[in-house]
Amino acid sequence: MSSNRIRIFAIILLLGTLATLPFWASRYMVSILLLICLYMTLASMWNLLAGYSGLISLGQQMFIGIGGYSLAVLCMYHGLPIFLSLLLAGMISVLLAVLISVPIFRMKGVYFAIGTWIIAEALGICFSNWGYVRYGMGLFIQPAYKLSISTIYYSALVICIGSIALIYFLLRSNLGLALMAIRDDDTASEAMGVNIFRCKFTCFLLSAFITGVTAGVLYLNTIFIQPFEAFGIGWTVKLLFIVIIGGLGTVAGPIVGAAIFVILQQYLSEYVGFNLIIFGTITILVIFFAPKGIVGTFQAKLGLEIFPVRRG
Amino acid sequence: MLEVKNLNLYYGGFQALMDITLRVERDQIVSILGSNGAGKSTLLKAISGLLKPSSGSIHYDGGRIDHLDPHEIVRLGLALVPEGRKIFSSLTVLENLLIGSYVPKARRTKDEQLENVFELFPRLRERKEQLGSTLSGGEQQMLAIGRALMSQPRLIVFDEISLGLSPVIVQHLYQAVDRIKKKGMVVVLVEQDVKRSLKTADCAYILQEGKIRLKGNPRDFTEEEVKKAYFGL
Amino acid sequence: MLASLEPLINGILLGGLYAVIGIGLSMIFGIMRQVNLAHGELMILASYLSLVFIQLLGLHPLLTFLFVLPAIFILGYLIQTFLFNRVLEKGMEPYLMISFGLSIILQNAMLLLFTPDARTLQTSLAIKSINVFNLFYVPVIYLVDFVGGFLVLGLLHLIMKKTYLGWAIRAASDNLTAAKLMGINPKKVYALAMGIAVITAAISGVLVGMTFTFYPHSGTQYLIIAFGVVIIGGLGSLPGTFLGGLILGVSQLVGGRIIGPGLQLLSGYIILLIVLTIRPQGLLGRK
Repeated sequence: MSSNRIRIFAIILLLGTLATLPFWASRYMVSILLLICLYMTLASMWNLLAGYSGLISLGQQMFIGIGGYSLAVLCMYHGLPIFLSLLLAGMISVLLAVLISVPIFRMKGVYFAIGTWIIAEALGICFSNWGYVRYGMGLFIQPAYKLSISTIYYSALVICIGSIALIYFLLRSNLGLALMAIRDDDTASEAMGVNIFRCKFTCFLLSAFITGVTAGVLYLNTIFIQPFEAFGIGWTVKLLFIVIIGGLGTVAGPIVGAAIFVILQQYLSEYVGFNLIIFGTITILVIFFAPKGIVGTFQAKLGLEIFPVRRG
Repeated sequence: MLEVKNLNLYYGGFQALMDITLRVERDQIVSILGSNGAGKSTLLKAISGLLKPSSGSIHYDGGRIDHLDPHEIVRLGLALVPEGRKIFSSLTVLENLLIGSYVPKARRTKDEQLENVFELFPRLRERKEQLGSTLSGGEQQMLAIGRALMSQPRLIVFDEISLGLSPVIVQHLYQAVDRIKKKGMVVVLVEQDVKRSLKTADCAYILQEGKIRLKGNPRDFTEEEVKKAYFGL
Repeated sequence: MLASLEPLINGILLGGLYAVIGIGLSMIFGIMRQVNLAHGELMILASYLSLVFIQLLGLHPLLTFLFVLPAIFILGYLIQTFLFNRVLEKGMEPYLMISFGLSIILQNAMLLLFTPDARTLQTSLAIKSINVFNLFYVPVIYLVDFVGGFLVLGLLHLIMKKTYLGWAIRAASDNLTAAKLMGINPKKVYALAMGIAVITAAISGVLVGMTFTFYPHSGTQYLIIAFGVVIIGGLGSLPGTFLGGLILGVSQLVGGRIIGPGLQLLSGYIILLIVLTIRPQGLLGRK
């Protein structure tokens, strides 16, 4: 049996388990897996930008905030069906991405990172001063009350699997080849006709859309959204942790990292304050001793890839 | 005074230096020659501590230096005038020279040394408040040499000082090298310009593809031998 | 009409403080090509340390400099030696992540030690104001901030221009290889540069503590101010940093007056984004 077939079999087994989870697992476990799926998706999107497109963003939270608030406003104030609201939340995030793309893509490297962060902070301030969304007091998303945890779980699962599959096939496509060429050598790939801007822009829009939709589901789960939390740098902190522990620039990295993060968060939730200190310490230790992350180090040692993206 | 014994160095996946052995005695000018890529710069980087050898050893003044960091080697009195000059572009000429006297023992005599350098290269005195980046190629080379002198070295290595400069300036530079030698410093010259080095050197080594092909007193070399060693024909 | 000069004047004065906030970040970016995301937290740590010494010894806030500055210098030196020097010459990402991790650790340590309550370094200077031609008021503390800013930058300028350490730091920033050949030990010079940078952060931290209230999470907003100053004023330029501080201070206070006090920070951010878009190297920056 070839390694490919083993892989496919393992994936089908895993998917089967996950799909039937609400029927046999406890509510607590479902909610944990739900969070893992959501964080996996968010982290994968951040990884797509930072690990593959070379765009280190410290402002991904702008799409989380916009996505969450769009979902809240659309289904609550305008009475739109929830799933439609989710989709529209994604679209609005894309709109934001398009709007800021002109200035933001002029900024390179660390300036890009700072620029994205400032935009997120600015949006946070705007929303906390906006009466329509009840200022800094936040919104209770009423329509979310009637959703069952299974529904939310399946939404999260579908989005998660969908986006991982999307990334996997994207990286194996021509766009993926271009991205990896750019990552290896900027100038050379440009000389060969790769339109760097278009590649990065596409990834940027894609990640904005999925992040927006995912944020929508996230806030359906937590039911309450508040500007400083939604647009806060805390999101980037968590995503950074996940991607570093898991492995930057690998497909499986965010998956492993998200699982570790959510589980760790549960264990450490009793030690308020300490938990983040431990997160920070682990981040530093990982940089020192396993800079490629768990998956990265694993893949390097064994010379294989869990989700192979190199063709041939 | 400087001894390299059976040095091997791998760089970027391939072997840049193979079993290099050479000696530099006091009161000598030693020339290291070779075409581009022969390994001259790599050898100098190993001597100055910028690169670490894979095997073999480098000795200076009786002690081993191949495991030391560059800044420690300078303190021992071995100075390198690097290829490409590498002057500090945002510092003035004066500041460039003063930073040359960074090592503690050189700081005490910095004013005296400064005078010596200005005497050697009057052009630098004229331009002392100018930024390093505004100097011409030849002046930058003078500055690089002056800067190395400020550290009070006993052995000074010149890496391709004639590169990209006009013959008139090169002539001037070599006169300076001669004066430096007369002051009692040991000089090692790395060059592509064969004729000039062979005229000035007491002892010469010709490198080709990381190996020493020819060594000895250059006046004893025949043109045939030199060509063969240089080009590997 | 002339009363509207108040935000302008106060903005300029505050700008002096902002310049000190930014200079530490600028130094590290200019010298080591790295961004220290823990800069804000180191500042606020100094504010809290000052608070501790005020409560322990009953000192005037300005006198706490004697204790706070050496403590923070040592901390900065140790951080560089044991954390950052380990990833020297390995690119931007490791340094960025480590400094990020450090900022989280510091912020939450302060949260645990000092609780999330608002704090301030009580001083009569903050309450007194100068009456300018009966038109508007200038808080004395703003003047202290401005003078402090001017002094710090002036002192830094002297160090960079006239001392061996200053030349060594500038040389290492121009060409690290050549600097090594001058006998400069990169690890030691970086540690000292970091020490100087955190001292400026500490000074600005104490001044900020006297001027405003602070919380454990205040580091973030001051980090953005520091970025703002560096971006507007440009790297590698001390006068540029001072100018950057002034511009940011003015745009914050004047903008705040125009669009409303809750949106004060926003006006600063907008100016920043504009500068980032058209001229990321800043007004007087070199790279």
